Amino acid sequence: MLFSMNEIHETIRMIEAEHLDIRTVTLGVSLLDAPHGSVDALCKFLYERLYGRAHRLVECAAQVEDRYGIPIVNKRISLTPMSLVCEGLKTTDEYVAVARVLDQVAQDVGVDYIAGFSALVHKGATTGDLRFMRSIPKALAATKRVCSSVNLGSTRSGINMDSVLVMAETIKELAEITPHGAGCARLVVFCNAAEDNPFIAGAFHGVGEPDAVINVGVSGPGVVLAALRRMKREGKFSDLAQVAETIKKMAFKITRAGELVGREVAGMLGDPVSFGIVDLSLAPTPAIGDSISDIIEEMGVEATGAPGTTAALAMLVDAVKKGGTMASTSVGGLSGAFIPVSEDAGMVAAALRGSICLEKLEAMTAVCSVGLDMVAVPGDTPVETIAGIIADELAIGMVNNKTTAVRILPVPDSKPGDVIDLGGLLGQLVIMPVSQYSCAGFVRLTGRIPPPITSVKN
Amino acid sequence: MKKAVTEKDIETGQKDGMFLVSREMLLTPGAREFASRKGITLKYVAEEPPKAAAPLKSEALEKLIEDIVVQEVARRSAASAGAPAPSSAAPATTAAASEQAPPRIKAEAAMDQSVCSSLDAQCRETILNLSRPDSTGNRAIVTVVGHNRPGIVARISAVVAECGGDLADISQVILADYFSMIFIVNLDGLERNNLSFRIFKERLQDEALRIGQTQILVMHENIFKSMHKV
Repeated sequence: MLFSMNEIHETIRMIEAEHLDIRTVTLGVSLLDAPHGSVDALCKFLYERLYGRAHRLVECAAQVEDRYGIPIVNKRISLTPMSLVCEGLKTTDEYVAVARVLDQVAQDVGVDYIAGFSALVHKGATTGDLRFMRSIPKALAATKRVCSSVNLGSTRSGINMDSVLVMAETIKELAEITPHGAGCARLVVFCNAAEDNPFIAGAFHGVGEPDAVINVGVSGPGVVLAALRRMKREGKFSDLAQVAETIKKMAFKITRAGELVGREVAGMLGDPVSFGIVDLSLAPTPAIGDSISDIIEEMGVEATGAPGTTAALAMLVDAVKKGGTMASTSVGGLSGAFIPVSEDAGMVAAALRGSICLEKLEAMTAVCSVGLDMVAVPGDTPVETIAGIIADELAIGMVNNKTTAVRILPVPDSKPGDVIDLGGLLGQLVIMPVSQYSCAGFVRLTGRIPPPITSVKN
Repeated sequence: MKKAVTEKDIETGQKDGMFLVSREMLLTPGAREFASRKGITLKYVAEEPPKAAAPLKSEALEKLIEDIVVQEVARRSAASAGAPAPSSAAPATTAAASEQAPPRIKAEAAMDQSVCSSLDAQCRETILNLSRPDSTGNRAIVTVVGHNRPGIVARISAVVAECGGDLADISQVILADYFSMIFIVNLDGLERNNLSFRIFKERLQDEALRIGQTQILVMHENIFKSMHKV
C-alpha cells in the first residue's frame, strides 16, 4: 500500500478527533484601480469588483473541503486598505455607506467577515486618514461583517503617537455604541502589520500584493496538544529537544495540509487569483482541547501566566515556525501562535482564576504573535490608559522587529471579574483589571516615537 | 475494475483446496486469513484463467517496457546534459521499471508514440494497465469503520464499481465484532462516468447509512501525500 495504515489513521485522527482544520481561506482583492471622488461610483465599483472576484469562493472552498475531508472553518475577504481607496471621500456618512456596501457583498457571497477597512498611518496620517479613523466607530456599528485595522507603528518609522491617541478614542467610542463593546472585536491596531495576513480582524490586502490572492490560515492547537499527551503516555516526555521535535513534526503536517488547500482553492478560482501564503499561526478556538493555554499547561506550567509561561510559549512558537518553514516555502502572514484571551477556553479559565493578567500577556506577546488579543477591560478605563496599553504593545513590536497588535474591548458598565459571552468563535470575555496609575502626561505628548536603532540596517 | 474477493468467494470458488487468484482480483485480508485457516492454497496466475496465453505476454511486455525505459533514458540523457539524476541513474532492471514513476511515464509516452501502433489492441491495453497504477495522482482513500457483518466489502466495492472507481488496494483489520477497512480507489473512471468526487463520496456515505452502524470517510489521496510524503 502506498500509505501505511498508521499514516492514514493519523491523518483521520488529527481531523476527526483533534480539531485539525483550516481556520481560514482568505481571498485578498486589490482595489487600487477604484474610482476616486464620487461615493456612488465607488460603491458600485466595490460591489461589482468584490462580487465578481469572490462569488465562487465559498463554493470552491466547499469542494476542497469535500475532497480532502478537512474542514475549512472560515471563508473571508481582505481588501486594499480602504483609507487609500476612500481618500477622496469627505463625510463620515460616505464612509459608512462604503462600509455598508462591503457588508452587503460579504453577505451576498456568503463569507463571515470582510476585512481591510484599514488605514496605514505608522509615520503620519493624511487628512483623509484622520477622517477615515474617525469614521470607524459608526462604520463598524452599522455593519456586522466589516473588520477594521490601523497600522500605527513600524520598526522603520517608529510609533505615531498622535494616531495612537486617536485610535484609543475610536476604540472607546466604538465600545460605547455597540452592545457589550462587541464591535471592538472587529477593530485591531498594529505595529508592523503584515500585508498578507489571512486572519481577521487584522487582514488587509497590502499594496505590494497582486490583483487577487488566496492566503490560508491553518489551525491545530488541538493536534499539538494531543501529540504532547501521547508523548506523556508513552513515557517520552522528559527531554525538551524531543518535545520541540514532536511539535515541529505536527507543525509540518498542518502546514502541508494548509498549502494543499490554498493551492487547490486558488487553482479552482482561476485567473487572476493566485496562491499567496500559508500563515502558520496556531489559532485556538473556544472548543475544549483547541487551546494554546492547554498546551502551555501540558508542558508543565500549572496555570497559564505562572512563571515559565513565556519560556514555554517561546519554545512552542519557535518549533511551530521551524516545522512550518520546512513544510512550505510560501510561509507568511503573522505565523506564530495567537493568544486571544476570549477565544481560547484555557485562557478564559486562566483569566477567571487570576493566573493571567494584562502585564503577563504583554510579556508573552514578545515571543509569539500577535499581541494583546481579545482582552476586555472595564468600560471606565480612561482613553489615555488605553493609549498607553497600545503604545506599550506596539513598542514591543517596533523594537523586536515583529508584528504586534492590540484588540481590546473596554466593556461599558463592567468591572474586573465579570464574564460576558460573545458567542461563536469570539468566545467569553473576562474583564481584566487595569493599572490605576495614569500615563496621560506621556501619551498626550505629540508626534512620533522615533524608530529604534535596529531600524538602521542598510 | 478489480474484483474484491472475500471469504465467501473463496469458499464457493475454490476447487480441490486450491483457489486461482488472477491479476484482476483483490483479496481482502479476511479472505487470506480464511484461506489459510481452511488450508486452501492460493495460486497466483498472471491473467484470468481462460486467457491462458496472457502470462507469457505479460512477461514479454515487462521486458519490452524495460527496453523502452532504457532506450528512452539513454536518449534523453544524451539529448540534455542536465537530465535529472534519478532518471539517468535508473538501472536497467525490472525493479526500476516497475517502481519508479518517471521512467514509467516515459515508457507510457514512448508506447503511445511509436511502439503501440505495432502491437495489437489487447497488448496495448495490458501495457497501459501495467504502467498506469502507480503513476496516477487521482486516488481516494476510503476508510470504513463499523460493526462487522457479512457482505460489507461486497457492498462497498459494488458502489465503487458503479461509480467507475477501481479498487487498487484493500487493507482490513477485524477486532472482535468491529472492523476497520481502508480501500484505495483509483478515480480515473469517475470522469468517464461524469461523476464528481462529491457525488462519489455521497453515494458511499449513503451506502454506509443503508448498511447501518458503519462510518465511512472518503478523502482524496493528496491530503495524505502532502502530510506524510516529502
